[in-house]
Amino acid sequence: MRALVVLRRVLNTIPIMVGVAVVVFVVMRMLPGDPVDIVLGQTGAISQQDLDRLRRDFHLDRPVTEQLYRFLAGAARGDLGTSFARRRPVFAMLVEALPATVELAVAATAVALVVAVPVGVLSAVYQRSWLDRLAMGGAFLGISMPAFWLGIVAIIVFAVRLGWFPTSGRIGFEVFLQPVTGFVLLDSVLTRNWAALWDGLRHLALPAAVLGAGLMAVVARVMRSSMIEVLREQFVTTARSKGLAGRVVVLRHALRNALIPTVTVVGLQLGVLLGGNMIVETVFGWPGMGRLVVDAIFSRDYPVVQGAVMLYAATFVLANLLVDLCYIYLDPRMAL
Amino acid sequence: MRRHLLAGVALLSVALAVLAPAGAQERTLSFALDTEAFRRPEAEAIAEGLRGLGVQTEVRVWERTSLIARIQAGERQAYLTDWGSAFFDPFDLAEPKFTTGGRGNYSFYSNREVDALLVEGVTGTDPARRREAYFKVQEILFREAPWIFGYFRQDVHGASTLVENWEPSMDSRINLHDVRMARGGLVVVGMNTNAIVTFDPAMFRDRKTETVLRNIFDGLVTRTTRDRVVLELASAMRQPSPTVYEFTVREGVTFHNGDSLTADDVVFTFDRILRERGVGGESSPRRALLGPLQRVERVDDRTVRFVLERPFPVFLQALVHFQIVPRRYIQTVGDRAFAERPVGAGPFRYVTGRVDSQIVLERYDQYYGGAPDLPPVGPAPLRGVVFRMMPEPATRVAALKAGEVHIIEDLPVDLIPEIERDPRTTLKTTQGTRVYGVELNNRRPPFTDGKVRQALNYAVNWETILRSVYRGTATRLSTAFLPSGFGYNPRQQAYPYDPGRARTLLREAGYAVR
Repeated sequence: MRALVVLRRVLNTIPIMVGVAVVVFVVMRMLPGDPVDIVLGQTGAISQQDLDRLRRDFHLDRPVTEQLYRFLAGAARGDLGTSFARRRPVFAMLVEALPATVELAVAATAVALVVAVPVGVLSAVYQRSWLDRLAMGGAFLGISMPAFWLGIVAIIVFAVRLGWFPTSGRIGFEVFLQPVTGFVLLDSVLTRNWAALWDGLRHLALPAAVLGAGLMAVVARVMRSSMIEVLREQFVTTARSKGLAGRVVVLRHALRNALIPTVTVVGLQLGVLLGGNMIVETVFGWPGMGRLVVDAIFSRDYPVVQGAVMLYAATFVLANLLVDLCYIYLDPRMAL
Repeated sequence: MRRHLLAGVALLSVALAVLAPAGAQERTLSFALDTEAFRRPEAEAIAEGLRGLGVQTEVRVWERTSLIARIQAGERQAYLTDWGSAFFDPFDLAEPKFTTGGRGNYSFYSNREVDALLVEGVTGTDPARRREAYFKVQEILFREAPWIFGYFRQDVHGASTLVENWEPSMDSRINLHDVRMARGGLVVVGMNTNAIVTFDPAMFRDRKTETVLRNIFDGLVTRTTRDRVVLELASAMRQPSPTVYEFTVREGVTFHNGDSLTADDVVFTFDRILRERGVGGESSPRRALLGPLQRVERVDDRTVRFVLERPFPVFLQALVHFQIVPRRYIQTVGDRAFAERPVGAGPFRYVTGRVDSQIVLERYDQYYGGAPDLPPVGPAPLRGVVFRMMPEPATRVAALKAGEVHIIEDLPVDLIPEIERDPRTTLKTTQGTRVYGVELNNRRPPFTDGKVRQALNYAVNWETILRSVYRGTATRLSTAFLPSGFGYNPRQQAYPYDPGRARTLLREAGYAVR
């Protein structure tokens, strides 16, 4: 039954992907700016012949409908074309950038959950106490602080002053890590390279904390309000009246129910994070999707933007699917 | 991330442009001043000054590519733009910017005499006559004032005091061959970019990529930290006629894979650039930089001949930017594999790394020594070099202060004091080769009137603006010729700040002034 639900959902993604592909194809071509002009840079003596030969290379001399067909047909076979700027297959570029972004997104989410869920629960249980005020004040700050500023401050304090973490990058150049999957932490474990694992974690700590800070604040607030609501429900009163210990009531009965809105929020946010965060990636020199895509947009590198947006669409659909599966786990009635 | 905001701002600007009342009142000179976000403070200061004279100017901020597309379509009036020159010659500056219909001629300036003089300058064989032609162009440009002429800037970099014998180059190259470290023998460079483009010297057009590649690859010739061209892989050069150059390839040079470098490698290097789809089925974007180069021939094992269609006086300056690649290796592994694992004949060999994160190079012990005119000659003193992509300036500064990196590119003005104050770091500056100005659309009123354009040149108080915005790192230009370039006339004075003169000219042109 569940397998069927999943299969149906996966098949549903196909028309979505095609729609997204067409939209991004059209939108990129509506942006002002000529990719060939950008690739050729600022110089003199560029002849029409020079422009034409690149235009032919990029197939921009063909009718737009033919370009679209070429793109869709290629995408169906897993060929996303070649980057105008870097002249490499887009697929390979995305495969290279994605692990960095996924690693950072997952770490940021983990950091956010580890802090925010307990904080949210405690705030709800001890509503209006000093602890609640402090936590919610902190959450307010977390939402308000721009990641750019927070990132720079974190670097200055923890990397320059205290020297606890490196300022930026994904892994030190002194550490040799045999690439397997492209995920630094995973590859370190797979190759039992503990030095690389430690170095990777040290590099990941600051960007994950900074990226996680915003999410942390959101999750703590959502967690608190849904927990407060659940604690007023009848089944909680029943559990209490059965004489169960307060901790058991909160953790066994209330928490599971209160997690549903949190899962929704986290799922959506994870979808956003998997798109890559341009700001955090720039501040921490993190070679992920955000920088790749923003660069590609500014240089009008159509194939890269098209490929990346399709990947985003797929990720979003996948994240939503995971959220739905979590619902089923948390509340089996939803499977029906 | 500023760029991120930019797209939004540009959209908003477009919306505003649609809503704004066209023309405003009669007799008042009013126009929109377009800029990219990074020059907004300067644009605001210019607008503020002009308002004092009764000129209504509104600053609009754009994303670069969108702005240039609108400018090229002739839709904009006045815009803050910049144009870089790599050849130390007006060939890639005045020629594209002022030739009628030139690729970079955003002001739509057109003057037959200037066109003819620029042709003389770019193709002439007599340096004295070329210089004379360029002097004349500057004189005419000054008089006709197609732009509000601006300035050039210092390129400011930072370095650790442990780094010895490094000076930044005017062409943005970071030459690490001669550098020593007081401790460690390894230099880490923080690059101002998200990613370099490729490891293939035939497939890029940006300076950042070249900065990295010129430590892995060498060319027939190279440049001093200033503009002088010296022999590198070539041991001799002859020019039997104005359109023929012959180079003797240095003996005993090997690529990092052990192959000897011969005339065949030189011919192959240029062939793949000249031929359409010559690089693994793709065309090199560098073709145009070679100007009228027609073909490259192998004369014998050590001699190559370059044949040009017509004289090209900046040919040697152009050759500096072309690095020799190994023919046998590329033909064996293919162009794509070569771009993933480059093999050159430069002082450092590629070990590992990715274009978007960090690139690790180590000393090539069999290096032939480099240009004899750039001592010390021999293998690099450094054990290795690392280039790290660090697009955020504040992060580069932090990494330099933390001792993680030893050289950082491109310090913004506001971070200069941070480096000056720290005893472990030092500033390294060199003269920039990019012209900044305000281009005016000479084809659309009000800038069809030369008096208006001249008035604006008198009306902008550049000294004050440059001092407050760029804190002494910018130098005024009389036109759009750089002092570092061939044919610059040092005696040509810039327009002085003279609001009285500006008012008179505006009145003569029929505008109300304050």
